[in-house]
Amino acid sequence: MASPEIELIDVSFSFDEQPLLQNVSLSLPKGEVFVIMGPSGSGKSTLLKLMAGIYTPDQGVVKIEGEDLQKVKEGRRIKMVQRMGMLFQKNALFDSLTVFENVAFPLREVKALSEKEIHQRAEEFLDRVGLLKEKNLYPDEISGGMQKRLGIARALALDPEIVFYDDPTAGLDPVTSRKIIAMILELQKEKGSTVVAVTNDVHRAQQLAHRMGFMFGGQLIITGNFEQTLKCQDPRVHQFITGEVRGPLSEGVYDTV
Amino acid sequence: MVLRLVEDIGGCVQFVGQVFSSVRHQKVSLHSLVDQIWNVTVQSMSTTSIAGFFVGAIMTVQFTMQIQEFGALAYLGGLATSGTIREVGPLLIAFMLSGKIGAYTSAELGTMRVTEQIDAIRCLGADPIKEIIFPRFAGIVISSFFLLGLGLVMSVWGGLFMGMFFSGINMDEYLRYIPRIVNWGSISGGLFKCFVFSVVLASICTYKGYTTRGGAKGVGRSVVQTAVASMVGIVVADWLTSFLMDVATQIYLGV
Repeated sequence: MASPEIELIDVSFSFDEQPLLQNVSLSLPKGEVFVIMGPSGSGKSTLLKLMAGIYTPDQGVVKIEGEDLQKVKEGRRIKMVQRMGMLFQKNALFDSLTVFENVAFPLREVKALSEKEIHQRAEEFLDRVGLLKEKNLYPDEISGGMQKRLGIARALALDPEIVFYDDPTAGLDPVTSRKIIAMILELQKEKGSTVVAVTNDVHRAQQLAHRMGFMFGGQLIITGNFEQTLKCQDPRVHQFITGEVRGPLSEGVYDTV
Repeated sequence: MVLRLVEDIGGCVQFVGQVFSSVRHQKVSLHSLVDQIWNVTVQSMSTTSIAGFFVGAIMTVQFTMQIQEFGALAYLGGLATSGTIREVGPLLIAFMLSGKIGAYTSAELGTMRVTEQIDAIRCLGADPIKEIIFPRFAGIVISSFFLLGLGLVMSVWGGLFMGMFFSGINMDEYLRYIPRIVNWGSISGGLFKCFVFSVVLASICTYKGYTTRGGAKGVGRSVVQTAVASMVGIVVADWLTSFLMDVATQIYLGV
């Protein structure tokens, strides 16, 4: 049996002695679209960054295609990271580079391509996400939706086999959000890549996920498809899905709202 | 507080080690290095020129008061220039760079850190140390030599200006003893200090910027810490280099 594309075994992580993740285990096969949901501060983005190799777990193992990301040599680790792409929550675009240069940056730094090829590929990606006309503008001169699309184009520039999306629809209107999700799915189908996305939006999660997980207090409470999550009896999951004001997620919060 | 200081110094030294080990096996972009050298030099040229001019003028005024009594005004140009090359010039350039480029670099890197741009570079399979830290580090060190040269030329002009209008000597008299008094010892001492100060500054500002945490407030904190730590670091380095150079001179002369 082939090893899973991404595997987390009993992963814990803390920051300044504050535990952010506790004993998280997860296994994702190749080509799966997995969505992580949960209230703010539950550890979703941290989990994503651990999978992407930005953070190192205090305990447990993060495996990519069966290889422990922390135990491989630096050269191998870089090769593994180059097979992943990531869209950050606040896009993390290079604000001193133009739209074109943002997409050309990974091609220039990582791939041994000629300037002509870099130009061609960067323009191809910008065309895919509908930003070719804006290629000479800077990130702060384009709209929030365009910034997201640029972040996606940059994340996909190296043709990654695994793509992480940290809240891809944050701060976007419903129509743009829907378009972004449709674009992510289209690109995923085209490349057959494994996708892990974080979102708080239940509708977008439903549109995107093959399978989803619910996080609370640094723990992955459940995993399953949308129907299974919908039927989940855990009151925290139920409150999150229905969006009710009163419930276990509002403890200590509700009184102050 | 002492523990924090030791932790900071240790972290900074470790970081510089990481910078050099990172570029040892990787090709550094010459374009980004030249770009940084150009930026630092151009950004600091005007302030270094103005400060250099007035430092020369100050040195001349100070030396005039001292040597006039001994009727040795002919040595004014040589003494003022030698003092500037050996001590005041490198210190001045380091302070200028600290206030301008040190703070700028720290803020720029700090902003890149808190907006996750540095994480993004890592996620794209590139090395942020090689891409953004080393060019800035080397840019500051290399530029400081150009700026030292510029500052010294301007200080000679400033000294000459004051020599003519305050001390009452002409251009020939002012310049005559410069080649005799300003020897290779003064020049190499000045260059050594310039190198040490710029390494101290480049280490502190890149380290503080790279390790920034806590959003806009964190960036502000890094800039302030860079300004304070680099000023103190440069003064301590000045004392240490002066002491070491004195010991080296005594050993060389067999005293």
